[in-house]
Amino acid sequence: MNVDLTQFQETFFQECGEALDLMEATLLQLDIGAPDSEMVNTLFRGAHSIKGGAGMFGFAQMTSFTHGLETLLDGLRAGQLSVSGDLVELLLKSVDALREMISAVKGGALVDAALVDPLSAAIAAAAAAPKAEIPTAKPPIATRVPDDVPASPGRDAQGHSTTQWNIAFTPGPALLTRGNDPLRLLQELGGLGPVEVRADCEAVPAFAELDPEICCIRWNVVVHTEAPRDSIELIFDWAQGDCELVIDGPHRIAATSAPPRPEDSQHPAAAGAPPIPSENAAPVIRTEPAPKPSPAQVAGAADHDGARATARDGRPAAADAGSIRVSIEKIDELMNAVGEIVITQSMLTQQISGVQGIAAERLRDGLTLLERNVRELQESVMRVRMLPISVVFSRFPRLVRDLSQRLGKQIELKVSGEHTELDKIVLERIGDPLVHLVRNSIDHGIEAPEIREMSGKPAQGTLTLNAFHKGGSIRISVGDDGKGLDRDRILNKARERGLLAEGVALSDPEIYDLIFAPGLSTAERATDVSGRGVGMDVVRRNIVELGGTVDIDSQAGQGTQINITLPLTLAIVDGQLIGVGGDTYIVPLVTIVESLQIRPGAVSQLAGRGEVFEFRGDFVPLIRLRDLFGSKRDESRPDQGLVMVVEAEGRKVALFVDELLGQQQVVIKSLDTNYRRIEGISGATILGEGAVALILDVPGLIRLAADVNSRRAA
Amino acid sequence: MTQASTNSAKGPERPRQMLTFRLGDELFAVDILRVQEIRGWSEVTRIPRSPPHLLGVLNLRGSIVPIVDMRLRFGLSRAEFTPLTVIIVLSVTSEAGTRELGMVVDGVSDVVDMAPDALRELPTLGNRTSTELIAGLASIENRMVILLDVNELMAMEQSTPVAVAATAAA
Amino acid sequence: MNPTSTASDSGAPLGEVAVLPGNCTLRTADDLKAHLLPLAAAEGVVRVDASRVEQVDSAGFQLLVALGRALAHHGGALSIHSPSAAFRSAARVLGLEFLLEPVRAE
Repeated sequence: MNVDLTQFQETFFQECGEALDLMEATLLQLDIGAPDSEMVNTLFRGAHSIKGGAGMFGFAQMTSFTHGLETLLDGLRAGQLSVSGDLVELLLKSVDALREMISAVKGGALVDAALVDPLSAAIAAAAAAPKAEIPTAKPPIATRVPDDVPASPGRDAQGHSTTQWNIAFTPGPALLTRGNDPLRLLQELGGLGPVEVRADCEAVPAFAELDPEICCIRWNVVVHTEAPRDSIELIFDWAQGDCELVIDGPHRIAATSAPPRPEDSQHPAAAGAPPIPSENAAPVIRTEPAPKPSPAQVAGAADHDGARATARDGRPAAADAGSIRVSIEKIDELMNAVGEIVITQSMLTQQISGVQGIAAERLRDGLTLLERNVRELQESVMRVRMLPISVVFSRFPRLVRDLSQRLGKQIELKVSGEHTELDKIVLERIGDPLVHLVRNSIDHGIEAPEIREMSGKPAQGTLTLNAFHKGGSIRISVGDDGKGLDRDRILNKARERGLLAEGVALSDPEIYDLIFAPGLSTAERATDVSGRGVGMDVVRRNIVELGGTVDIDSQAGQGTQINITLPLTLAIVDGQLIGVGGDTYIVPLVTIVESLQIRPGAVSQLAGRGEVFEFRGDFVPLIRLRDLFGSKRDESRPDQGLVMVVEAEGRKVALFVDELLGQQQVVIKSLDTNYRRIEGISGATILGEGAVALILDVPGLIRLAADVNSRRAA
Repeated sequence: MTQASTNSAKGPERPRQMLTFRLGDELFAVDILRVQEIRGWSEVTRIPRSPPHLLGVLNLRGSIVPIVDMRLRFGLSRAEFTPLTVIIVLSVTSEAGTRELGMVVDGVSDVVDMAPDALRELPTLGNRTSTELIAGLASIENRMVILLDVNELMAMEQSTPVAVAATAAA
Repeated sequence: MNPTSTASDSGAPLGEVAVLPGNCTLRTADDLKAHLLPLAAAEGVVRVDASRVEQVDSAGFQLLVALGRALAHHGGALSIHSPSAAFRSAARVLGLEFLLEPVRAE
């Protein structure tokens, strides 16, 4: 009996997870002002089914919470209430709270009442607010602090139990130049709740001595928020190491006998304006300074944070009916086994090739069939690893919404191509770089509405996320219609940091590419140009590790688009086999622009910068692979041989090779499983005869060649 | 050296089985439990821009395994590869997974028992031979045997930055 | 654009007048400092017009803080005039609204 119940519970949790995901997605699409009735129904059904299940299993906290939610949604459904932005916010918070409750219940615990009760009260208040009375918010001090009045907790969080954090923030010397403007950090803090900001300018040196790039102002900030410590730390995440940060709290400040009494909800109040606990209590002005929290309160707060953490980890993944979970290792084992079969099969084909006779003929037929079957098997196994990119894209509507709200920007997110499939491993590892790029676009690319209007653009910025297949790879682009990159600023910084010699002329793509340079990204962050320096070198590294490339397209005042090209899979690549000094290498087909016989005079020496090859009227750097790889056999016939023009990240180079051997699909094996990563080599594969061939890392080679050339120049 | 004492402290009471192999005039030994297979020399795929002692990589049952010339690793002169030249494939399993490495030696000698008390600390000598891969010395059947530190050998191959080779003669 | 200009035609009895450029951020901080530097030695009240400021960050504000302190050091003061919305809101976020308070010449 017990066992059965657990089993049902597990199902219930899964269903809850799915219902909540659906509710969240619906909320994000909900049209404020004119909600689609079917959407409202979906919300109601979600809350209703969770309530039913929770009641059945005796999860009292969840039952009473969802009951309130259901009442509110019912009012919405009946048209007694209207959908406001604040209401959507409240409902989103409720979804989050339910997720936490589920994960708490799983561990046999309850979510801290201090978190749930104010939310319940706000829901009740919103449900009790009839449509007509929404403007008559009570208490009379309005729901939002007017723009020109300093934010003060006395207004926003009046007379209520609030949680207060005292933050001492002392910028370090490199903070500004790393792009962490205290203005932005403080703004984000303000997004958590009412703040009191005190600037301490004592340490600012005399004007003449002041280094404008070093911030000497210190800040003491009091934030009133129910958000956990994590949320505060997250804001300072990028500034870590470049500042001193003391986060003191949480301090519970009880001005009334919180939690709110049920009769509070009798007062009609504005539909749940954030912060949640604010307006459904009598206006009691807080006069006492922050009392020291009792140990018990502190402990309670710590538990609360703990519960949040587990809630995130324990969030149930939506489970498809009729699917099973298989570890990626098992699929890799399958892939390896298939790879072995391919090798054995081609070995057999080779051995039979010289044999005559009917028996040999039959054998050949059989082998041809085998080859086809194996190919199909290989593709099927590959498909097992593929997932649609919507798995990653789905987190962005919420991120964009939250972040743009916090920064006071208006941003519309346009997503397309979310059904494009790619390898699970690629998918897992592309998430963080994408979040980084999207954050950057919102944070620095897209301007504030006033500024946009001033430059004749619509107040609402547009952020586009797009994915599509192109050749054997997948393209993901993150674009915005913000202010674009400032090429002069990048150039200056690059020269300052010695990344670029004076007098070197670069094309625009080459200039934009500089923001990925580790040395520059620190400087670039500072520029606020469009702030894309924040860990851009890390973004590129992540992408390169996946065998991908990244390039930038930007126009001043028009916006920036970052294009990521990734292999569909990390397991297989279509390759061109080439011979270099007696060794066989593989060049990924996607990178090849053209292979051509070398013409006399097509190669010329560029003073101190190595050789260039004339290709379609352009001069591209020539890399002699034999030299670069230090190959043994070196019959130097400078004007004979083949040139293969390859392209990656918007840059072309010409590879000087001895011969072209053939094309084949190869299974990629990592070198660092047993050895380590090698510059210019992305992996290895096993050819038909069982010999190992190395796969060239074209973007890496291009960079390597640039290094060698600049060393030569020096 | 501390490694030797650590090893002896950890060592079981029973004798350990060691595989001994020849390298120049010296006799070396590795724990037989670390040896995955012994195979004859076969042509490897060269890795560009790698140190000279790394001969290349080999396909061993679908796994790409680096092959190290132990003579060069220990600073001895390069020897011709003969039919007697063998590759000892070592395998070490840790939390990070199983790692394999092949080492080319002059020849495999024997499998011997090593009593726990046979292990000696390495005398500090300032000779040309690098001591960084040596776990200790043991006297086995009246012969001095050098114990190879397999973990360190693997760790160094995985982490030493690739020598700036690129004979960039233009 | 030259951010500082002496307003001789305004007829104001006060000292120097500077107009802050649209961009007062880290990006332009070096230039801004160079332009404000002559004012730091000025006597009396220095008026700074912030109506054109579109972008301002901590670096920009720090320069103004330093300027104000320099002026106060020899009895003067910094007076910021008709701050733009961007300027005002940044001052609020940074806790530097005291810069916007009216000052009185001696």
